[in-house]
Amino acid sequence: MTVELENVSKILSNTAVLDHISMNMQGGHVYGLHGINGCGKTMLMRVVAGLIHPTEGQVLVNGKFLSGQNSFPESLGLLLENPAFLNQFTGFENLWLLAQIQSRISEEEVRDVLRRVGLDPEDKRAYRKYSLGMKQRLGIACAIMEKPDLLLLDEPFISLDDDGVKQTFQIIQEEKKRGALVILSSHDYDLLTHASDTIFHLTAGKVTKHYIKTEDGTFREVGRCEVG
Amino acid sequence: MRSFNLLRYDLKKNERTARIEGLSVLLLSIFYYIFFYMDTLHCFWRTPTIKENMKILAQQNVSMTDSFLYLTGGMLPMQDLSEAADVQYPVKWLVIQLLILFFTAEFAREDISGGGLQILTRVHKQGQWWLSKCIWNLITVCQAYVILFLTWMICSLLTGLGFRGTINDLCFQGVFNTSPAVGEISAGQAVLIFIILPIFTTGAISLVQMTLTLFVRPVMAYLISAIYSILGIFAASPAFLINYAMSTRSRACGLYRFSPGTGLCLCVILMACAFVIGNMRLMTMDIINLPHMEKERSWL
Repeated sequence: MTVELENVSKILSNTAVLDHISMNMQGGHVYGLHGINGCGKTMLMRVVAGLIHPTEGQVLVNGKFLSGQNSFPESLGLLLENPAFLNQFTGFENLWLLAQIQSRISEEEVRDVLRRVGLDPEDKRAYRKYSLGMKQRLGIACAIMEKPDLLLLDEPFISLDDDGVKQTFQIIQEEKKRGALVILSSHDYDLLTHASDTIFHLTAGKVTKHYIKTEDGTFREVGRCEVG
Repeated sequence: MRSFNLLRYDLKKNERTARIEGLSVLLLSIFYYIFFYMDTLHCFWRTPTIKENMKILAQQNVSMTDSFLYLTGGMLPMQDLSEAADVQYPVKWLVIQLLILFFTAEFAREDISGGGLQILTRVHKQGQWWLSKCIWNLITVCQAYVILFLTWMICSLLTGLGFRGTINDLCFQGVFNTSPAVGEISAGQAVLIFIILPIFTTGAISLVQMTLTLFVRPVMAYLISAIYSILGIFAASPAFLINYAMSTRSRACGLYRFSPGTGLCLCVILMACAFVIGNMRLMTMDIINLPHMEKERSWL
């Protein structure tokens, strides 16, 4: 899996929310996006997911342009801001309903992924009764359940307790080992350094700094966006 | 296959809403029939018991055609504005149209934010997603009308109105302030103007409304559809599709000239245009995260 952004800009209401961003990303790596609220992290994820069309530049996923009828990557797992599911169904029922659209996984696999994120697949409570942390875990489960090649996690650590954060770190590493390209965002730099191999720091829609994790676990700044 | 799976998802997701909508149409239909019975049938032939009333109705040759004309007749076009003070506005008929449009107003919009993004990205092709939304929209319109017409038919049968094509002069005059131009319509014409055309017309307007929600907020799209429907009551023109939903304006009733065949063609053309325009819009629009919808219906 590869994702390339070539000089991508997005203008909304006369403001450049993304400003000439170029990146090359490969599967089997975790890319972190860091910045304050409103710097463009979520917008960048939406562009990669195909939900937003860039004003300039292009996005290639596995060498194919995202455009027209094929504007969403074929194998995509998505957690964007607040996860939202159907209030009247349980966590399992919600995921199973979604899984049936692509019919790629079985009921047992849905149960497994719920256990992975620390939720009980036999829990009979409707989604409306979930706590914020449970909703976040369900959102993560939804993103990873079909083993996507491209995984976009926007602020995955929000509302999670310490156990939840540890589980999420573990999940991210497992997905990376599986070969997925993971892009995650957070305004918490410590969490991001723990989870990511490469970090892009965004300010006002531009990539202002770029760090790569070295062998000893520290990050060194690089001059321009390099592969991996 | 994905379209079928998506339709199944929509069915499951909207199960509870569909039940509430069905119930509201059922209650409205019963309420309207009680009104029709007391206002029209009982009013003209005041009898102490329903049994006696039914005998009188049979003798007077009041049929289901009369009851359906009451439900779907709408209003005859005004010749000029001086008639405005005297005419009986088709409020009950309009409420049915606006209620069904209300049911479908938020369909597409609620699925391009929050949890709906999970659906959209799993379907991959916007065309498939949009097609399933259009089908679901039409299913909702059909469901509402099927419940409405079935309830109306059962109530008509229970009150002694038979399956006949005759139009009772007294009933017609009481509702439309004029005599009917024809004394009878055929079964085929009756099915066409009472059942098929209202479904197609409301379905077409509902699809256009749903397409509009890709450009403007649902409340605005609903207002536009509502104003278009209301204007059609006053403007007897093929440009206002709603004319074909009013059975008294049909050529079959002989009072006016709207051809059912033309109406059907226009509806199909409009549905196709709504589908194509919606599909094109989806391919180019940015799906920005709308405010998370906590409530079932959040229009603003």
